[in-house]
Amino acid sequence: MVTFLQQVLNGLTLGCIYALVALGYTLVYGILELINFAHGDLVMIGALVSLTLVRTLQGWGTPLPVALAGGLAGAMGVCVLLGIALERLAYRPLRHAPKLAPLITAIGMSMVLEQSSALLWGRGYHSFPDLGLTHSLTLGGVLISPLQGVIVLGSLGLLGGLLWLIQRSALGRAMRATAQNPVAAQLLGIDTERIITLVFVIGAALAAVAGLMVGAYYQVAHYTMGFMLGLKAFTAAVLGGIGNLSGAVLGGILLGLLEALGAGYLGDWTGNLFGSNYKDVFSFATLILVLLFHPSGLLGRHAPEKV
Amino acid sequence: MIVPLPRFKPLWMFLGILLLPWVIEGLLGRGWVRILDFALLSVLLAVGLNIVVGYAGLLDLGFIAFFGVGAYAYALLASPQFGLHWPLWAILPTGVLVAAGFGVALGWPTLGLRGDYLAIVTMGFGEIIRVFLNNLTAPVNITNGPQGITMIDALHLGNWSFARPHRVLGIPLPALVGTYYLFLLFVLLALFLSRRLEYSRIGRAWMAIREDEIAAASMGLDTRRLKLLAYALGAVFGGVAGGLFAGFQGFVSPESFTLQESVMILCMVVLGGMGNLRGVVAGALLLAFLPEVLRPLGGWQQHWFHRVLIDPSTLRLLLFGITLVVLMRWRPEGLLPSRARAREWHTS
Amino acid sequence: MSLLEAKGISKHFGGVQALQNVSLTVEPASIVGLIGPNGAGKTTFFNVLTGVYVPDEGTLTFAGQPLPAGQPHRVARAGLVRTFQNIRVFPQMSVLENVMVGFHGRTHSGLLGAWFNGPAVRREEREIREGAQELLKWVGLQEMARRVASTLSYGAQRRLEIARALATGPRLLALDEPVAGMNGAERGHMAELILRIRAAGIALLVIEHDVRWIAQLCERITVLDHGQRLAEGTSAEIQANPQVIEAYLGHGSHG
Ligand SMILES: Nc1ncnc2c1ncn2[C@@H]1O[C@H](COP(=O)(O)OP(=O)(O)OP(=O)(O)O)[C@@H](O)[C@H]1O
Ligand SMILES: [Mg+2]
Repeated sequence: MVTFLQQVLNGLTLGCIYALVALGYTLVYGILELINFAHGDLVMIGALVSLTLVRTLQGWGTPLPVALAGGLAGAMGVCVLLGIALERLAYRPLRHAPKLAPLITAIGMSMVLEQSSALLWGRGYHSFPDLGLTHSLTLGGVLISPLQGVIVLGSLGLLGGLLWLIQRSALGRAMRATAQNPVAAQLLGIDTERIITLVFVIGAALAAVAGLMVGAYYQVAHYTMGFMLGLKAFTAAVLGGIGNLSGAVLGGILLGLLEALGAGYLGDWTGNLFGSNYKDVFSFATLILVLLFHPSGLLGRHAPEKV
Repeated sequence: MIVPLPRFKPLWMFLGILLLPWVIEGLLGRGWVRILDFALLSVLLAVGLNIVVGYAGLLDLGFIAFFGVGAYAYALLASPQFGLHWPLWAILPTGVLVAAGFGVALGWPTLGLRGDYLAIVTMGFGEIIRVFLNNLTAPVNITNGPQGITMIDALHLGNWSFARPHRVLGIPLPALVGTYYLFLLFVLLALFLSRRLEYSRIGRAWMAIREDEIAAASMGLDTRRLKLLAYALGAVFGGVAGGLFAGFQGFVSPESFTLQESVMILCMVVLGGMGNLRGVVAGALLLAFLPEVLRPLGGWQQHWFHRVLIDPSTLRLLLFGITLVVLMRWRPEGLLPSRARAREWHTS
Repeated sequence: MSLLEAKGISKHFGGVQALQNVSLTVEPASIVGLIGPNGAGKTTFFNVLTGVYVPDEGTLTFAGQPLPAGQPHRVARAGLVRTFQNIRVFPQMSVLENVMVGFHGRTHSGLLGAWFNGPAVRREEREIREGAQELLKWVGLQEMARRVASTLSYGAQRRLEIARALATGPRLLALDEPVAGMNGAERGHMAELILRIRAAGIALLVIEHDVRWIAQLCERITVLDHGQRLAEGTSAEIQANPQVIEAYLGHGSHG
């Protein structure tokens, strides 16, 4: 039982991070019907930038909370700028091109971001500065680190606030209108290009937060870390129903739980033949199964293409 | 429109291709013949991916996985790993079936959906296959984990080994040149099969699907089956290339089959011109030689700055990414486009 | 036995009830009109019919057999083909190739056939080509066979779509606004083509806004409004029906 709760907690932590990233995929897909392959790499850049900044600031003797805030702010700034640049320079010129074009551009941009990071930060692993938040408390046998608490509460707060904003505010309404019918939205006087930029900004900012969180959680950052994370977050978005914001959050958390529990117990069930080294297979199998049996996801609506 | 027959190249071109390895060996040394052999495998891969991306218009980002499947199939059937030493003519059909099986198993759930799901699923597959290759060591040691499989039997037909020099009609034939001719044979076969398909009832159906899937289905085309066919065929070409690779190199390990390699092959197809065989061959050759062109960069940097600032292999991958982005923006039809494809890109 | 029998078809998109309990029959080798104001659900009905959408409710029977829901290629192979309101030719293929694609479901050469390209395959390919040329002559596009489809005029593209559909060997041809945007003379030509198709034993289901144009062509007309069947009857009955007149005037008519 204790192991179970422990795995649930670990899964929840992971799931919250997936949810933050998944939201970025789903927001962009909801409006542009484009898989932004470079989104996972923004998370990686968020992690590396915040790592570098926190280290530097700490080196100057800045107290940890300030260094952290500085790292987060810097990472968000860099990611948001990159997100905007990505949209402007790569995707916008292809808005009316055949569908293959933006997809190929997306994979190309992902490669560019990854290899540029390899040039800037090298191909090695970077250890994340110790935030002093890993000293765990025990709660009925379950180990909880303050960091886990910060990740879960922080991301849930962020996600809740964002969902509320999009459901309630005028800006959110404009976003939803653009997602549903860009042409009609434009006729109603909505500046759809601005909305699209905004979507990239939100996604990139969330990616930066997620980057700092994964970096701190696993205490390591690396220029290829965005790839698997991105794949999983996309799976989460599909699981929840791509284009659906609450779905992305739900899918992220479910996938995190699935992965933690699956990886935790699979080894026991199979006499350690299939252990946690297969955990990445879980999310992929989930993706295939969802696509096979319920491609519109848990909360998604199946909207047929208009003919 | 009259179906163009496969055009026979002028005799001198044919001779040039035959003599190429000799010339290269004479001018640049034996190492470059080896690079040429690997380049032919890249051509084989690119021609395979072209069926999927160029003809059927499906984006496959895990294509290298099929190469890996073929390579491991050869490695397992012809190495001390299981003590099996099957001959080439038995391994190839087995590898073809295995690769096609993987292709169908993956394509089946996704091909009924929007095209971009295929892209992400293939991308995931490319990564997952590596997880398996790295970990399938228990309960039975199948893949030998990250170390990979070594001492793979050399490519051979009967008693004729392609790893040894021979003497033909009194002329000494170096092993690498013999291998060149073997690979050339496969490349020519692949080109021939591709070309026949392009101008067939099936090729026409692929083109229709690429241009308007809903209209194609409404005219009675089983779009899902046709896409699956393209996808499985691509897998087969990739699998065969992988088998040849394993036999040529003598060892395989999971690290040869990364997303970066998939992107490289995509880059070959896109750079040359999706859907146009001549372009695809040119793109593959161009990019296959790129690392060799960039290699000296490391030495120069060492010499001038006393350290390597820009790692040539990072630079190579960066260039692939930039190439894709720049091409899609300014020349999506590639350097040597097919005519229909060029129109498709510029009118919508 | 009716050729097509649609019973109680309903289809909604989110909150929009695009079709509600719509029934319609088409007799063999007859011409049936489907009219209604903008957004009435006519195109949606075609999409349900041809398997592009799956209906929420209702049954579709074609030549005594249930139509496979949601599988356009099987519907087409069963003998029910359509054209599209917003023209969907294969834009970068030649006019001839467009029509040749239509023969796909009726021909057989596969992978091995393509590779070996034996006499049977070559003969089939020649038959496809000749059949396609024949059809182009039929719709009056024989001069344009080598042109790229997207370079054709609007009216010519509509005729190309019809030739492509005929290539599948249909028993029922469904046309979605075949004369939209055409002038009087072109409308006359299209009416003549439609009658010739019918004379060849093929039934037609035609969507059109222009009541007079369609009335001179059809035996029977069905009127849709707000997703529901407003009226059904002979051309004369429909033209005299006050509800129909009201629906059209109320929405602002096209014709
Ligand atoms: N794929 C779809 N998704 C959402 N709504 C749709 C879709 N297809 C049709 N609709 C809606 O269904 C209703 C009926 O549309 P439909 O195109 O069938 O009308 P129509 O009678 O063909 O009109 P028109 O004369 O303008 O062609 C409209 O309100 C339309 O917006
Ligand atoms: Mg309509």
